[in-house]
Order: sequence, then structure tokens, then C-alpha cells
Amino acid sequence: MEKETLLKELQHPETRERAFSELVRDYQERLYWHIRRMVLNHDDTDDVLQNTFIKVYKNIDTFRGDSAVYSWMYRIATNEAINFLQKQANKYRISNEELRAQLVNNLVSDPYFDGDAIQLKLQKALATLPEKQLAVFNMRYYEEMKYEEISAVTDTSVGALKASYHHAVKKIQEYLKQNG
Amino acid sequence: MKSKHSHNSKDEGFKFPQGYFEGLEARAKSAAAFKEAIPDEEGFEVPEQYFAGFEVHLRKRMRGQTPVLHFLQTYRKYGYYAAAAVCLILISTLFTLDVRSTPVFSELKTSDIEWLLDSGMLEIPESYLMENPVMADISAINFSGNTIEPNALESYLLDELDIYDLTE
Repeated sequence: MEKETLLKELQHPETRERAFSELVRDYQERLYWHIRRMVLNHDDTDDVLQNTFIKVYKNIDTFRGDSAVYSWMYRIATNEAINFLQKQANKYRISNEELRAQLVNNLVSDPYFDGDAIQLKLQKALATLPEKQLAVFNMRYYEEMKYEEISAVTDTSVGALKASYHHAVKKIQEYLKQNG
Repeated sequence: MKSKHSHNSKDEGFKFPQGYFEGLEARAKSAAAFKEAIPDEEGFEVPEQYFAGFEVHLRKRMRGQTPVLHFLQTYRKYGYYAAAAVCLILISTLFTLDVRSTPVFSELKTSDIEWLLDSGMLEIPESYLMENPVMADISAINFSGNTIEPNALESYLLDELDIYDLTE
């Protein structure tokens, strides 16, 4: 379905349900992995993903279509994931860095994580990045999004994103080197 | 406007950043080394049939939330009126509240004091006892049963009453 048609159908009460189903089917996996790489645990990811789609559904009438629907959804998903991590840190009265280190440690006993020592070390390296930088790194490296697309999601200039990605790569390299 | 950092390649009009080729090899090697250090697989797994059943779970949760939302949306305007009315009442109460009407211990009725003491809601301030020695001296009187010892009554009267009160 064309992007403009999809938006029109999402905003029309008669076609909304069908269009929303299509939206969920088309984007659930992409958004799932985007969120999962940030919150790490499957159950938390499921919760954040559902919240993301509920927000999309509730606010579709106020979406003006300045950006593509998928950029808007990515933005909601990123914010929801970051808010979730922030709330968890507040709940346990620990810093965001401590929380992310804790989430990585939990992966060892996670039934939905089957990574080896190298994959676990990578997660530890990624946990050293601030949330927004991590989101940029994931979108660029794993999701292979263009800087222009990431710019639409994060509302940040391409130049700043390139610098952020470069900085993230250096940080990960350094961590892997020190803990190699 | 032409960029200072851009260079023309012969006649085709294409441009590239200054120093691009000098740093190309180092950048390529660095990118390759990074990709090599990062494992292809991340190790994350998803429960079987998770994506196939995701929309069903999502719709179920949305249905659970919908009635509350409709209710809130329907009564939202009434909610605003109610909130405004409560605010007005609170403000008017604050303005009409007479701060001088705060109860003073010495102005309380004896029965009220007794009730408050019995309820454990009141402690007699020490300053009040100092200013009212009669009450403090009562404790000096030895009450045995329901009668007052004649000696105690006599010494109390001698200490506390003015002789002129008796002669007048």
C-alpha cells in the first residue's frame, strides 16, 4: 500500500482497523528488534512494542504526515524504549548505566538468549553507550538505515548522527580491546 | 556556493571531499576490523509463533483499555467542570478562613479539654501550667478516696487565699 494511502486509511474511521492491522503486520518485526536491542529482555520488549502500537493507534489522528509513518513509529518506539529504561532505573534507584549492566548480566539466565561469550561481551560493550547513542548505532549498524532516515526518526542533523555513530564505534572497539 | 573542501575531478563536474583518498585505506581497514570484531548473530531468540500471535495479543490489550478510554473521553468535559468547581470551593474557603479562629488552649472549654485528654489527643503545655499555678498546686493536695484531708485543705487555703478575701 502506498504511504499516503496508508495514512489516509489509518485516519479514516471506516478503514482504520484494516489499515492498522496491515501496519502491525508490516512493522512488528522491525520495531521488535529495534526495541529488543535496547531493552534486551523479550518480555519487556513485548510490553514496549505493544505500548508503541497502542500509542500509534491512539495518536494517528494527530499525526500530520510531516514524516513517513514508519519514521514516526520508530520515533515512538525509541522514546518508549528509553522511557522504559529510565523508569526501571528509577524503580530500582540505580543509574541508567547500572541498569544496563544489570540487564546484560540477566542475559546469562535468559531463556531467550542463546549467545556465546563473544556475543555477551558485545552486549556489555553496547551497554556502555548512552541510550540515544545506542539507538543511533543500532539503526545504522544492524538495521542498515540511511543517516537521512535516522535523522527523520531522531530529529537530529546528519552531521551530528555521523559523529555519534563514529563515537559509538570507537567506544565499542575500545571496550572489546580492553576486555579481549 | 563552492565548498573549499571540494575538488573537481577533471571535467565531469563530480566533487569529493579534500583528503578523501588519503584516508580511504585506513577507514576501510578500520571498518573491516570492526565488522570482524562484531559477531554476525546477536544471540537473541523469540518465542515460537510470537509474531504470528502478536496482533491478537495487542488487540486483546487494546480492547481491555478501550472502555475506560471511551468513558474518560465522554466524561472528560464534566471532569473539567468538576475540577474547576473544586478549585473554586478551595480558593473561596482559603479566602474566608479566619486565621484568628485557631483554637487557643486557654479558651477551650473544660469539658473539651477533658475529652481531648481522655482521647490522648492533647498534652497540656508546660507554659500553661507555669502561668496557672492553681492547677499545678492541685497535684500537691492529697486526695484519699473522695475526701480531702483537713490538713491539706487548710494549708491550701492559707497559701492561696488572700486574708482580705475572708475579712471582706
